[in-house]
Amino acid sequence: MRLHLGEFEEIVLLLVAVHHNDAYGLSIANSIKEKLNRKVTLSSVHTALYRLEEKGFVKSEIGGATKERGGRSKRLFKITSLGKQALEASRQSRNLLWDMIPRITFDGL
Amino acid sequence: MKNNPPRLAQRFFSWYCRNHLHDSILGDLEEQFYQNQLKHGTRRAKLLYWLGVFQFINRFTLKRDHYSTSYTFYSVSMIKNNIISSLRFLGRNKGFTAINLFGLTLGFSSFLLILFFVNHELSFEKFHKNKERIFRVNFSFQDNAGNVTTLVNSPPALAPGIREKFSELEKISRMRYAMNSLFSNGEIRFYEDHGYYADSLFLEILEFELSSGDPNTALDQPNSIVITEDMAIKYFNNSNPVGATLLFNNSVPLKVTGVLSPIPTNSHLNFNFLISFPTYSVPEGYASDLTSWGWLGFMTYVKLKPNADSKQFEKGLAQHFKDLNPEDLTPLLPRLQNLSDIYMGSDGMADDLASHIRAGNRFSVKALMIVALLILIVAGFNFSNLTHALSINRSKSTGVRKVLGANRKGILAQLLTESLILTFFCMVLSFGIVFLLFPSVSQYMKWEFDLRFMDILKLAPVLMIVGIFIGIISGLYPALTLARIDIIKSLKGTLKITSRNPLQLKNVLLLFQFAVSIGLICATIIMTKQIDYLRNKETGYNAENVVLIKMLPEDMSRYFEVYKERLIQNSAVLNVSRSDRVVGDPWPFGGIQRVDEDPEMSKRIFFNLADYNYFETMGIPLSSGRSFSKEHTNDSTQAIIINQQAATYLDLEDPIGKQVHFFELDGPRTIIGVVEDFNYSSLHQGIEPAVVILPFIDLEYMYVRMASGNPKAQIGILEDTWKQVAQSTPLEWRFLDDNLDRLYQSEERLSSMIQVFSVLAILLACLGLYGIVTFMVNNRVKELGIRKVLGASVHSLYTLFVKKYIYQALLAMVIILPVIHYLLNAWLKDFAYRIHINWWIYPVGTLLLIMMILITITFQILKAAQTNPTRLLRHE
Repeated sequence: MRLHLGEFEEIVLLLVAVHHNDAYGLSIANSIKEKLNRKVTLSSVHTALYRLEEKGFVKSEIGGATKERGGRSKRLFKITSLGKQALEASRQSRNLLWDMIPRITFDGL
Repeated sequence: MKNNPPRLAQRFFSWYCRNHLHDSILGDLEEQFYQNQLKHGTRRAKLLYWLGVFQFINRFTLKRDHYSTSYTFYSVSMIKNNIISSLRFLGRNKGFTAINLFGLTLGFSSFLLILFFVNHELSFEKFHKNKERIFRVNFSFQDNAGNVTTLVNSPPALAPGIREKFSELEKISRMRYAMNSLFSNGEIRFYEDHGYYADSLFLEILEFELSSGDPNTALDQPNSIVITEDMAIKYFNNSNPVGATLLFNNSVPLKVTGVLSPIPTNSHLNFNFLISFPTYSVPEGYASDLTSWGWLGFMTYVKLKPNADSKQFEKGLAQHFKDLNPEDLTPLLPRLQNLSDIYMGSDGMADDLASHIRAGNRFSVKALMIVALLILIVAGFNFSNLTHALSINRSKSTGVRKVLGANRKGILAQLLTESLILTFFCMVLSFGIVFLLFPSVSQYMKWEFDLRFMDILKLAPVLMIVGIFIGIISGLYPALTLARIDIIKSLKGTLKITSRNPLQLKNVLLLFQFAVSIGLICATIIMTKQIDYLRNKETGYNAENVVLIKMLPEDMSRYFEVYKERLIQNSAVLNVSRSDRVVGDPWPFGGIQRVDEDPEMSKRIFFNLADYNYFETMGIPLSSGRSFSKEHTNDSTQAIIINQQAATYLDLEDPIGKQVHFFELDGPRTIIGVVEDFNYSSLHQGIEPAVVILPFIDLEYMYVRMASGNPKAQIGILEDTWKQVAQSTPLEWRFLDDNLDRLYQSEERLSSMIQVFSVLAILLACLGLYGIVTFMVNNRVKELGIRKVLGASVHSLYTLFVKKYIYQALLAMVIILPVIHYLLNAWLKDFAYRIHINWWIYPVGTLLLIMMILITITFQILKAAQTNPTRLLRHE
């Protein structure tokens, strides 16, 4: 159970991994909108990130203040090894289930 | 339109989010804002920003970082530390602390005392079971002139007559006041006037507790009596004399069938004995008997069945009285009054028998509650001001605390803990004081009740809340001031807590205290004056040196003539007479009309039965005609004397010789004399038309006018002569003016309470002022020194400091004037005879306060002003 990921959490966690060194709330939110074409609010991404941090799947540090942020630093997230395990576990379980689908299921769909 | 993110939204976010996430979120939001601005324009970006700020309200952003408070001020060790440092500080300022505690204790004690009184006033009849179903039947009636009178009395036929008639009725009982009752057990003989004849059901309706005897049967048999424990001990020296016999009025033996536990003081009925009703017989000569539906000389209490509709019952009862005599256009109108409403709600209703029923006054309860609240507020303000004044002495220690990491909250917590502890200490102290002082206070204020533990327990939660409230509210102002101070200034010793702003809170508080003090002083002056006025008002008769003697009607008829004869021979006795009713007690009334008027047109008129020499004895001058005389043998049946009001009332220009119908024993009565108006009832009422006729029944009151002299000698003469006439029968006497004083007892009680509490309020205000002046002088020591060096005289320095407080007192007068004027007028409205409020009362009250102010502060200011300036300036 400790490694369980929700669907949205999984996406956010994957994107943390994707945005290596530049994973913070807004960049992830933008990616979800652009790459996955999903509507998402900034606050829900943040909330997901904090929840992931609570579970120990990501860790955060301060850095990267820019002018368009009003000089405020970003909270940059990095995936932890536990996070990686969680992603892998989730991927494995999916693969396992995909493999178990009998061919006949998709016939005629 | 500016192109930045909305400031308000940012501030809102910063307000609710106070942790490590704050910066990064706000950064993200701002970055997003600029992106949105490019895509959608500024307006939409701003909207989205607002939306974002709201969407971020969640458990992560609302959580505070635990390290943002460096220590928790509610931990045990911190509280201990706070208490220790508070105690040290208070110990270092013993004098000040003592004054402060004294003031607050005084305030609490007064509040408690008033609270006990008000609690007792409001607790009337609460001890009765089923009180919501118990009613007294009052009667209103109207005469042909339209005068409506309401009496608490009812006719004797009511209770037996309707017992079976109304389905709403569960129990009904009547009672008759046992006016003058002489009881004896062997040699022990006394007159008692606190008692009633009561129907057997009385104790089942109003369930007064019996300590022995059966309440259901005690009053069933004729010649039974139930007495209180006090009376049992008085006559039998035994608290349980059930079965013993008490001789009543020298002739009727009564069997004691029950002993009443002490009657609670919060009962409107106030009696020592109840005689079973069948013992009662209508005295000889009375025009009515017990089957009368019109003789309002009794009281009737009913208990309705559960869920019965009292309005319905009242209506049915009214119909019953209409049906009794369908031709009467203005029948008696019965009115039910609920038991709980009797004590406070009987204003303006007369008790025809003046049977010691207790009546309260809503106005005085309200007034006292306001006074209690004001005193509490004044005491709280005082505490506030004194603590504030002291806080200059602890600004350094507060500075050090702040340097060591205390934040505002910590300082606040420390100071509030301190003020709460002090408040509770004072509360406990004032409980002790109230306990100790209660007996003497209640005697001074003429309170009738005892302090009962249950009452205190009941009020305890209220007091707890009041204590906490006062502790916090009055601690808050000084605490906030200290918590705000500048660390550096406080450590350097250059901190000034004063400001010149006249609206500074402590000035406002002081102004309020002054206003309350002036208000109470003025109220005291006016109330004292009004009561003096009532006492000294020309009543139209002369009560001085008149002794009132009460006796049984039988004794009166047996001894009066002889006694009078012997008394008159003494040169100290000027005149002797007797009457049915005493002045001051309500007079009965009957119908009167001129002989030439339609018999239907009878008007209500008050009357008295009085013997020869009555007007001479009472000092009431005749304005025309003659008074009753033995030479005119018809006087006893055909003469009547009226007052001037009655002459106008009856529309008679030359009344002497005119005839009227009134209590006809032998045809119409002729008016033989007109007396000047005199006030036969209390001065709450004006003089109304009244008539006097010679008695046709035995009377109970005798008057002796004595030459002025030593009261002891006067009474000596009366008693010695009485012994020669009546041997062992006791003589019950009273000076008439003492008897009249009790009419104004409730006013006097209110006035003496207001008096005491106004002194307290002034004392409190002066204490507060003392604190403020001490504080101010300490604060301005250097200024004083410099002024002196530059040549200011002690006198000019004195005026400089005092001026402000005098202005404040004057301002307070202006503020309080309309309020107090209104309230005093409302109080005076109750009196038919009242003083006019002179405008100078207010300046005089203010002047008194100013004098107190000067006494309080002069010493301190002079001390500072006379000090050598080098000592004041040497400091640094």
